[in-house]
Order: sequence, then C-alpha cells, then structure tokens
Amino acid sequence: MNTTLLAFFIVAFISLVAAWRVITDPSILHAGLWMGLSFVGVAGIFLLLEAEFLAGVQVLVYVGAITTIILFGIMLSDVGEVRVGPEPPGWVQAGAAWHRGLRHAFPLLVAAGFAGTMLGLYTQSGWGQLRERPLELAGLSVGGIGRELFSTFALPFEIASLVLLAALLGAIVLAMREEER
Amino acid sequence: MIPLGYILGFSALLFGLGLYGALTRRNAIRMVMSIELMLNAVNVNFLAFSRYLNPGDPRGSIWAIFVMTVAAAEVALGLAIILMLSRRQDDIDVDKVHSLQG
Amino acid sequence: MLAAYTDVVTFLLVAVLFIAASLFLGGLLRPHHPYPEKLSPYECGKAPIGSGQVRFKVRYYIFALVFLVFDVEALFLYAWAVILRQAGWPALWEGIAFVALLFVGLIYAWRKKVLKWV
Repeated sequence: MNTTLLAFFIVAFISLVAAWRVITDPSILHAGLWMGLSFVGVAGIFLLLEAEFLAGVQVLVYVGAITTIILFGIMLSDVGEVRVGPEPPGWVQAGAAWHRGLRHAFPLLVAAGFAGTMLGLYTQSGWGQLRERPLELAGLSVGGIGRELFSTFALPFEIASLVLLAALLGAIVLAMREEER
Repeated sequence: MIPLGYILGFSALLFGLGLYGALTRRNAIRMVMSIELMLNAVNVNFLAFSRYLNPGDPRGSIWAIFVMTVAAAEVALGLAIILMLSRRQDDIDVDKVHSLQG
Repeated sequence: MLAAYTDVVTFLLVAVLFIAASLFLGGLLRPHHPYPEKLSPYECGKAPIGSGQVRFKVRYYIFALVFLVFDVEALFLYAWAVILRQAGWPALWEGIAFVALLFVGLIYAWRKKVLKWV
C-alpha cells in the first residue's frame, strides 16, 4: 500500500465519521463543528486528487464561511435539540420508540439503498479499475481554471453573481423584517 | 495512486449519510447541514470523474466551484428563513411548520 | 506534487501529539479535590440568576451573511486576478460586471443601515 492510498483511507475515514456525528450528535452546536471537520476531510480528498485550488476554495468557502454562518444560525435561533419534560408513562415511551423506529426505517432503507445501488453500479461499470493518469500540464491550477472560467463559462459566472446578489438581498429583507417586529 | 472506485465509494457513503440525515432529522438547521454533506459528495464526484476520465481539463473543478456558490446562497437564504421561524414559534421542528405566509 | 505536503502533515501530527501529551500529563499531575463551592459558577460572589444564554439580535446574522457572500466573491476574484493579464479586455469587463452586480447588494445593505454596529 502506498502513502497516497493510506492518506486517502485516513482522510476518508475521518470525513465519514465526522459526517455520521453531524447526524447523531445530541448537541447541535457540536454537530456544526463536526460538519466543519467533515468539510476539511473533503478538502483533503481534493488535495489528494491534485486539485490544489479547489481544496483551497473548499476550505475558504465551506469551512470558513458556510460552517461559520451555520454556527451563527444555531446561536441566533437558540434552539436546543433536547427538551426535558416530565417523564411519560412506560407504554407511551414504548409507543414512541416504535413510532421512532418506523420514522427511521424508511429513510434508512432509502439512504442505504441509494448508497448500495451506487456502489454496485460502480463495481459493475469497471470504473473501479481505472487508474489515475498523470496530470497534463497545469490544468487544475488557478490559471487553467481561470482561463476556462472567463471564456467558456463567462455567462454562468455572471449568473453566479446574480444568484449571490439575490441571496444577499433576500436574506437582508427577511432578517430586517424580523428585526423591525 | 487511488483507484477511482474508492473515491466514488467514499462519495456514495457521504451522500447516503447526508440523505439519511436530511430525511430523519426534524431540526431544520440539522437538515441544512445534511444537505451540505450531500452537496460535498456531489463535488467529490465531479472532481473525481474529471480527474480520471479527462485529466488536465478544469471543467470538473469549475462545476464544483459553481455548486459551492449555489450552496452558499442556499445556506444564506435557508438560515434566514429558519431564523424567522425560530423567532415566531420558538421551535424549528419542520413538522410543526404549517404556515408559509409572511 | 503531493510530496510537498509532507511538511504540512508532519506539522499537523506534531501539533496533535503535543496537545494530547500536554493534556494527558496535566491530568496526571494536577491535584483533584472538587467540592460544591468550588464547582459552582462564579459571578462576583453572588449566586447566578437565570440562564447564561441570551438571545442575540438578528442583525448579527447579516454580518455573517455579508461575509459569506463576499467570501465567495473573493474566490472568483482570485482566479480573475491570476489570469487577467493574459486574458485581456473581455475578462476585465466580465470581472467588472461581476463586482458591479454585487456592489448593488452592498449599496442596498448600506442604505438599509444593516452595516451599522449597534
């Protein structure tokens, strides 16, 4: 086993465990921090694929900005997840457990079915044997990405700016209306 | 070198975890987080395919960057809506949200 | 190319090991005598009243929001700045249009007085 493969396994494992904790951690603030760790793991995968610029962008946008704004959202909405109420009687708890089991059975089936189908397809397709070819020139460098971005992708680039503008205006309108109440 | 199958397997597992979280969690902020995990898995696929099938072509990276831009916009708006809900009914359980009118 | 990151990984490992070792050694060496007065939260000698959590203003969210949007803008501008010299005039105008569109948002935020720290 070579070093790259070993590094891939470690990074993928950290990222998946962190993603699992995002769903299961009882404290939502901790879940937000685990999400940041999972994003760092994905950035590591990008780095292993020799896409340095994308790894940097992943850290800048996902770890730096999206995790921050979600942590802000958690603190501003101050909604804890665990509500301690009076202890319900035993049969209610059993019913709740049964209900919860039903609630989770179908999504579990869907998610596991999806992941299983994709894994099956990937093994069928023969892509699994495909090896990495050496990178031609500096295609994934900032320059290569920038040249393509400002020629072929000029229109999507301007539309991205429109999308950001719409998000900015919409969120300001929503938040300001709330502040005035 | 990492075989392509391993990377695709990783992204399928990450997407599955995100999907499970988005379907089962009732806390709206946790749903947003799960959706972000799914978008990350999609980005990994974009880059992996572009890197293995057509190395040196930056288009996979560019699409991943656009996905990130849209994800940022989505999080900004989604959290603004969640904040509004939390101020109005001090709860962000998505099952209890019936009113969509301002 | 990846060999260049060996230093980063080494740095990371040393940092993690150092912190783990210091925490472990600290736990081993420090005295441990808890009693109720020591464990109670300190608030100027008085017993604390109410919850420690306060509700922040929604306004703070907008600061994070503006940061998020301009963070994404910065990443596009970085790629733009790198290729600007060789890509020439069309790329310049595209970049200016991009910045101008987002500048509208900044003006709006400014006019709405959301950038003021209150």
